[in-house]
Amino acid sequence: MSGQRSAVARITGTRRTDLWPGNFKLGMWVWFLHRLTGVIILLYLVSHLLVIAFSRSASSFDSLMAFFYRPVILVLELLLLAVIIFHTLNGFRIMLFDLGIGIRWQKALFWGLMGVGALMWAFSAIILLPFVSGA
Amino acid sequence: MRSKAEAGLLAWILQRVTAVLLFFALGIHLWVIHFVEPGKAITFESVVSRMQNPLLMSVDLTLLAAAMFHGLNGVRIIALDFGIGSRGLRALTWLLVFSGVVGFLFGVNALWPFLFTSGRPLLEEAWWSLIRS
Repeated sequence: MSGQRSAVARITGTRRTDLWPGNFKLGMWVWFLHRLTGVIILLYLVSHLLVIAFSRSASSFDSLMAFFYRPVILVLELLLLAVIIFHTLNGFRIMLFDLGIGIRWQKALFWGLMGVGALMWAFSAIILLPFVSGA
Repeated sequence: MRSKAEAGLLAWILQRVTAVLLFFALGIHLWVIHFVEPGKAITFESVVSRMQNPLLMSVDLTLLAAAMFHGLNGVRIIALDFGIGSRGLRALTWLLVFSGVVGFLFGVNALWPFLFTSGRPLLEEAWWSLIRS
C-alpha cells in the first residue's frame, strides 16, 4: 500500500515531499503553528489549574501571586497572550474556511488577521508593560 | 450516537461551539483580571469577590469546561492529522474523555476555596477522610 496516495493527497495534488518541513508553504506552517500553539495553551491550562489547586489558603495564594508579580513572569504572560491571539485569530480563519469563505485568498486573510492580532497585542502590551518594569 | 461518523461530526461541531465560547469567556476573564484596573495585584480576596458575582463565576466555569473539551479534542485532532488508526483513536478518545472529566473536577476543586471560603477544601477533605478511615 506504500505507493498508494490518500484521497486528500489525490484531490489536492499533495506529494510526499510536500510534507517535509523544509518544503512547507505558508498554509502548512500555519497548520503546524496552530497545533503547536494549541499544545502550549493546553500545557498552560494544566499548570494554571495546578498552581491554583495547590495554594488553597489566602496566605499561600497571596504569596504565590506576589512571587509571580515580577518582570520575567509578566514578559512570559505577554508571550502567552501572543500565542493565544494567534490561535484565536487563526481559529477564526479555519471557521471561515468551514463556511467556504476566503479559501481562495487564504494567504491575504492570514496576514490581514495577523495585522489585527499585532494591534490587539500592542494594545495589551502598552497597558501592561509599565507594570513589568515598575513592579 | 448512532455511528462513528456522527460522533466525529458532533466533536467537529463542539470544537467550533467551544471555540466561540472560549473567545468570549477568555476575553471576559482576561479583561476583568488584567485590564479593568491594570497592575492591580491579584489576591485571594480579589478572586473571592470576583466569584461572588454569579455572572463572572459562570464565565470562569464555562471557561473551564469549554477549555477542557477544546484542548483535549484538539489532542484528538492532532492524532488524526498524524494518521492514528481506528483502534488507537478509540483508546485515545476514552483516555481523553476520562482526562476531561478529571480535569474539570480538578478545576472546580481548585476554585472551591474561593467559592466557599469558610468550608474546608474538597480535596483535603477527601484526603483526610481517607486517612482517618
